[in-house]
Amino acid sequence: MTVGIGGQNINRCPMALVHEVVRQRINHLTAVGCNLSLPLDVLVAAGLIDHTEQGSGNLEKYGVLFSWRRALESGTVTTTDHSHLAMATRFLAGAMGVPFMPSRSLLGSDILVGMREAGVATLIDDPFGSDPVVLLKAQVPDVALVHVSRADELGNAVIDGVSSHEVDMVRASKTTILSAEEVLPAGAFTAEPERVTISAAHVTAVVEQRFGAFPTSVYRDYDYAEEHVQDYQRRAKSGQTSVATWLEHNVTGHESFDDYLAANDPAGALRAALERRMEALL
Amino acid sequence: MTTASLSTASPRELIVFEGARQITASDTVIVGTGLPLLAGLLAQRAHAPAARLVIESGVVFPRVKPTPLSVVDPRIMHHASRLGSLVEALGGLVQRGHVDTGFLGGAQVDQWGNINSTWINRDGGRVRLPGSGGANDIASLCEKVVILTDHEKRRFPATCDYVTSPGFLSGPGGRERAGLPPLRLKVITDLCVMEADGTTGRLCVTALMPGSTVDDVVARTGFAPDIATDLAVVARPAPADLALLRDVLDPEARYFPERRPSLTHHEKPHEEQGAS
Repeated sequence: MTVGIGGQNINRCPMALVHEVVRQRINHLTAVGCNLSLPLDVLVAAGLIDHTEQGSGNLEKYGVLFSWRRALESGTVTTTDHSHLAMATRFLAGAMGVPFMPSRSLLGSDILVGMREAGVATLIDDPFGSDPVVLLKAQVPDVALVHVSRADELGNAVIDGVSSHEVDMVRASKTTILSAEEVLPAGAFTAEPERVTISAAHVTAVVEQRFGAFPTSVYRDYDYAEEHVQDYQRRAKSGQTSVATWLEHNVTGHESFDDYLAANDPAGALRAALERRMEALL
Repeated sequence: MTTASLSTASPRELIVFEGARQITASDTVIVGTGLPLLAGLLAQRAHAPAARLVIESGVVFPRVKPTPLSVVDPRIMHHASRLGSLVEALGGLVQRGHVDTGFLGGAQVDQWGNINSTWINRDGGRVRLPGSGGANDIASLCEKVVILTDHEKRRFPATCDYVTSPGFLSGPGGRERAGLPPLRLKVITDLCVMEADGTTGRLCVTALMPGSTVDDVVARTGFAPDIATDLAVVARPAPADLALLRDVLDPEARYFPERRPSLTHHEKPHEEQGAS
């Protein structure tokens, strides 16, 4: 099964949805996205991933995805490298219902070599001109997992801040599961429908999960919890045993994401601080 | 590790100042976080107030608050003209031709200016790095690319183990043969400035950082770079610009751990990373 993962780096990662995938032990997954971040590393650490296709696998200043790195280096997970534009273009083709989309990127690179070998890119001469152009195969995930700012009961969703690759990924996917900071009654956006980032036409299910992106940020709601990102990275870096303990303490040892949040922040002081920090930045 | 004195710019700060000088007038530049972002912000506040920044995650023309550590950090989205998507930034602006200059880092840069941020061969095995991010797209499609990086021998091999982002590929005419547009490339390090264009296709040292020598550059480069006959010396920043960088743009020295009295976070000055 191919899973399209939303979020980017330290922003709006679908952590609550991914914790649930780990609890249900849904395995043999192919993960696809532009920047694959914490959600991917958690899935790799839990042993649920066979293959990944991505523009990058890291948390920028906070380092590479260490579980993913170990799995790629040892060969337990395979990968097809893309650039961000290449994957975004593949989602765009999927979203438009066409088999491929052209691009002028990737030419001459080893990324293109690997994508051609994997059968997801090819090279032709521009039929309307003369220069070479890369054709990128539509990417149609079986399911997309995205955390949004707000949604209504029908699945109409608002994303505040950048939307990275997510809108086209959702439009391309066969099914989409959204988590939202807040789920509002049907019709909540009818006064300003132009604010809807993702139409319910593309959404299969929506679930309310406050702080569902923690420890990553949700623009206008809360800042990212740097110390929790760094703590995960330290554990992931030090090895599989250490990250397995993290999974036990933070994911599989809890019945719900709310339990995990409560265990890490019993009185809610950290979450309140993250909200205040965001407010000060707006 | 050397501690920067209060009055003069450190070698890594000099990279930022020389990076900023590559931005003129009303340039539109695409930057990641780190030294490239600081270079863009310096240019805006010092000599190029009309310069505009694009961030690959979809942030268009922001006014940045200190100090973003990510391309999706709320601090980098501050007062943007639009918060859009990756396809808008890398497709609608970069591929469409609306971006003048792209700034990049890179774990390896070879003699032809190719960048590797994907796989490094080491001790008979392979070490995995983050991958391209938007770097391949920026290097493929921007006509001017500026690479900011520390100058270490392992970072400058003769040939990259893997070409993530194209410079001149195999040398003069390499880009043309692959179907890529022309490129003017500048690599700015803590030792020197190297340049290449489609005619030469190969990195040539054109300027030295204050206090460094050609011997230093040669000793810390994995190939024999061409050396310009009329070598320039990179200018030191004005005190006011140094204060701007230190007090306003990165007041907690998040990108200059060498300037902090004690390291509170386990971070290196330069993580090996792609564009995002």
